[in-house]
Amino acid sequence: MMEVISSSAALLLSPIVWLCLLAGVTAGMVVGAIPGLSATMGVALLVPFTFELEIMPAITLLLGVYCGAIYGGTIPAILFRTPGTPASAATLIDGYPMMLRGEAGRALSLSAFSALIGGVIGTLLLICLTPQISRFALSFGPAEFFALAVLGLSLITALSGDSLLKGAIATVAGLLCATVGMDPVSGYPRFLFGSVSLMEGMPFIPVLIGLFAIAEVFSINSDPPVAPSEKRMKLFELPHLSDIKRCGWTTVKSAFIGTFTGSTPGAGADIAAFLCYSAACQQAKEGDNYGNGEPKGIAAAESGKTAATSGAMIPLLSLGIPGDSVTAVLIGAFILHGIQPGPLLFQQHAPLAYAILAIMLCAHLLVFGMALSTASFVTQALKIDRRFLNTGILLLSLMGAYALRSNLVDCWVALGFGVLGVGMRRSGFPAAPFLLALILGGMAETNLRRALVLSHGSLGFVFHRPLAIGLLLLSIFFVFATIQRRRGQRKKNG
Amino acid sequence: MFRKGDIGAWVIIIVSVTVLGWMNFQRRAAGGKFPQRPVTLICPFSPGGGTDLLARKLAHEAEKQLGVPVLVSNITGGGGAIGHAAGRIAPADGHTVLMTTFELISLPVQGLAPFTYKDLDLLMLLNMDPAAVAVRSDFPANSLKEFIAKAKSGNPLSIGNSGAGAVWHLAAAMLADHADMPATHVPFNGASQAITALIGGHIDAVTVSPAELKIYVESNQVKLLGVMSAERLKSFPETPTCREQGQDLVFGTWRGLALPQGVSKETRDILMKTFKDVVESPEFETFAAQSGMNLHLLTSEDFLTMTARQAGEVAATMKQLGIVK
Amino acid sequence: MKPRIAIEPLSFILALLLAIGTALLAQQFPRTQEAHSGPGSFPLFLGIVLAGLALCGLIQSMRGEKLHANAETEPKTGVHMLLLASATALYLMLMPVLGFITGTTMLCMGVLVIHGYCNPVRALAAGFVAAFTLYGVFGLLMNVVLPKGWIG
Repeated sequence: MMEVISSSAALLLSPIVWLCLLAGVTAGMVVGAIPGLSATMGVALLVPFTFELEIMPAITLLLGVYCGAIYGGTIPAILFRTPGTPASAATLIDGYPMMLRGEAGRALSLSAFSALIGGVIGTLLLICLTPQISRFALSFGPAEFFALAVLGLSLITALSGDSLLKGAIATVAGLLCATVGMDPVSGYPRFLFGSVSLMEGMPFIPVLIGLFAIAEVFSINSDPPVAPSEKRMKLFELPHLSDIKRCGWTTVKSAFIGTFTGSTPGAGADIAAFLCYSAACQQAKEGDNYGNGEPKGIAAAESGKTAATSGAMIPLLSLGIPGDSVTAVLIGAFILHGIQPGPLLFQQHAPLAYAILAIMLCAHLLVFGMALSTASFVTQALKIDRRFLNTGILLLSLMGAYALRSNLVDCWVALGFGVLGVGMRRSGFPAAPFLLALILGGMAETNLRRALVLSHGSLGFVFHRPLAIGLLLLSIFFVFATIQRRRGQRKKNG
Repeated sequence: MFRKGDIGAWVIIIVSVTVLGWMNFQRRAAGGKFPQRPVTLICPFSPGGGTDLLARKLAHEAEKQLGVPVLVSNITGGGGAIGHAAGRIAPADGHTVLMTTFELISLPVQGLAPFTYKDLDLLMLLNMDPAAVAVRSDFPANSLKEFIAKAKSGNPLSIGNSGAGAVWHLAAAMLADHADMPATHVPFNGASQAITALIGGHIDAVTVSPAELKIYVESNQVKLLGVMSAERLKSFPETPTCREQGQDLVFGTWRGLALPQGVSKETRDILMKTFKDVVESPEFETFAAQSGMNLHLLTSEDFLTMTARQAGEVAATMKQLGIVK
Repeated sequence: MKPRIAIEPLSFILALLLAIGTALLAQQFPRTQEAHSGPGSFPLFLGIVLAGLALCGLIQSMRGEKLHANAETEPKTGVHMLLLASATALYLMLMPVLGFITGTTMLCMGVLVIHGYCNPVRALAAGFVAAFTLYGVFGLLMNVVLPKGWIG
């Protein structure tokens, strides 16, 4: 064991590793902050650069980009209601209202802090419990994934805002949206009307950009947001102690949920962030104001999505299976450098494996430091003339929608959902349930039908899967609990 | 119109128009010797897959030989249809090369793409991965024969694939058809999800490429019963082919390079020589061995014959499966 | 306050139309043999649920119940949004013909003017700066294939 530790340390001590980490995190935060350049794309673009590097600096660089990009998306989400990466969409639900109140600095530092906690807890879980978690994740078959999706959908009730009915309509519309494209089970194209561009389903990022960023530009408020009016921001803004106290439990809980969600193959940081956010809403206490700038909302989303990055590394390191699309690219990078991630990694390349774990921790710390030190700089962007800012956001959003697949159809999708987003806001339909349903819809339908294929068409498959039954019962409980609480609140209000 | 305060703006406008005009002039004037500007390699699949990995390595090595940057551009969607379409309509000056895959054959048959292999100028075949039949290590069968016998005796076995109508679905269907055994085909999103479900014990077998299974075989979680290639694979010398076990099946996916129709012969020759040298370099061979890819270089003519033959087979199988009517 | 009264039932009617449309389309999808669910069953189910929910909402809003207390109401928004949306639509239609830089410059200028920026010369200059910056970042650095069109 001592041998492994000392050779891990030797790997870590070379200065080029730290240079790569710094470069990776910086590049990652920039890539993440630009809408349309997601973490996946950033990592994929950097893979060729790593051909000339040793394995350790190469992996460090890529992990740095990964961790940086996942946080980077939060900055424009809070400041401009434009999520830089899909995972940041959950943050903006509470982050943007906080910015409008003039608390951009508070929101940014809190998000950085929750991201750090989530990342550290996730990485510690990764170090200690990898075999157990990966075994648990493997036991998830089609039936369990279906139940998990249903559980996620049941949490939507908590996200619905004032009117449950409108929330439900938005949810079903989102589910319907998720059925567009080629049916994954039979290969039949649905609702395409002859177009091939949407064959792989409604592209998620353009929808997101449309519903939030473009809708924001289109429905320009008559009263622009207050510029950060609080006392002049310090160069190094620390999170408020009261916020930490208030959000502590939510942050820790979200880190656990996020790690597990990230570790299941097929569910990444975006699903994790939304699940954690809705779970936090579900357990809202008296005086919590989710959707209108509740710090706990930011804490839950940020902690969950950062923990999911560590979670996604669990199946990668222990089984060689990617936990999400970024880790799929990472596997390619490992292979290019002659290392097969998988069950044998810890036996054959133990020093490297442990060095990677240590680097993950350092990357989260570095992201935290960078986020805090740049917070006061990035909030300056709010002082730009509103007219120029809006124009810039519109252009950048369209580019972001386009860049992912170099397809103009995606821009049309973004524009369409921008108009829809304005309509939904004006008639009081919440956007979050729609998005969550869009993410989870495909997962629910495909896995249900996959389970039906496996059981030869009988719905009885559920009874052989105790885990699935448990999750389904839990979701029924959540729905009833929310309805009960709403009724109680309505009585109290009058 | 002209105000003093706007001088800066006017300067910007004039400079921009000049630059724009110059860029246009450059573009129009381009012609003559190849290569003049960066070459784009279109990859019709998203980053992270085997195709993308191959494209990026290929681009990185070709850069050194061509002397201009080779840029990988992922134009994804439509199960590969959109990238292929983009490659087909690209300007035929050799500055756009398409990474084409097996889907070039299957998509038109399914009616999901408005073109066929005849609309492209096939440059060369790079790699060919046969399908491999794999089960969990504790599965009570050690050869394809036992596997088929097991399938015929009890409940039909569930075989996972990478998507409805995708290459590995066809492989499983061909096996079932050939051996006349019942099978339940379970589609997943991509081969790695199917493998995960196999290891997790949710399905009985998968038919995917050996490269994708390599690590699980080495860690003893999965065993290969047979590969659908003509000869045993270099990377798995102990695994018998299906042909050895009485099922005469040769089937798999492939990746190659193609150009839009109408590229001049000189340009085509330069590209062909460059990529051939790259693939034959020892560095590339190590890469292929590490990633478990089975390099298989074919010249333009042989590539075309193979594609034509496969197009017929695939159409027939899909009809049998009921994917196409 | 007039626009808001109209927009709520309208949204339910839209949802209802969407639901009926989906349900009808889903019926035309091929049914697979045996008990296996085909590609149409899930959309059909969703369509029926959505139709039910939308009807509920329609009835409620007809009876004059206020479902939502603080819907955003700015009469100016409508015109503003229409202008911006049509400018963007025009941009998306013209981009393949004009090319990325020219198109983006024009959109940027147009949007600035819609937002109430009065100096067209500066707006044009800003458009060029924005277009070239985007081209530099996405086209050259990130290697995204941008439409070229006639004039770049």
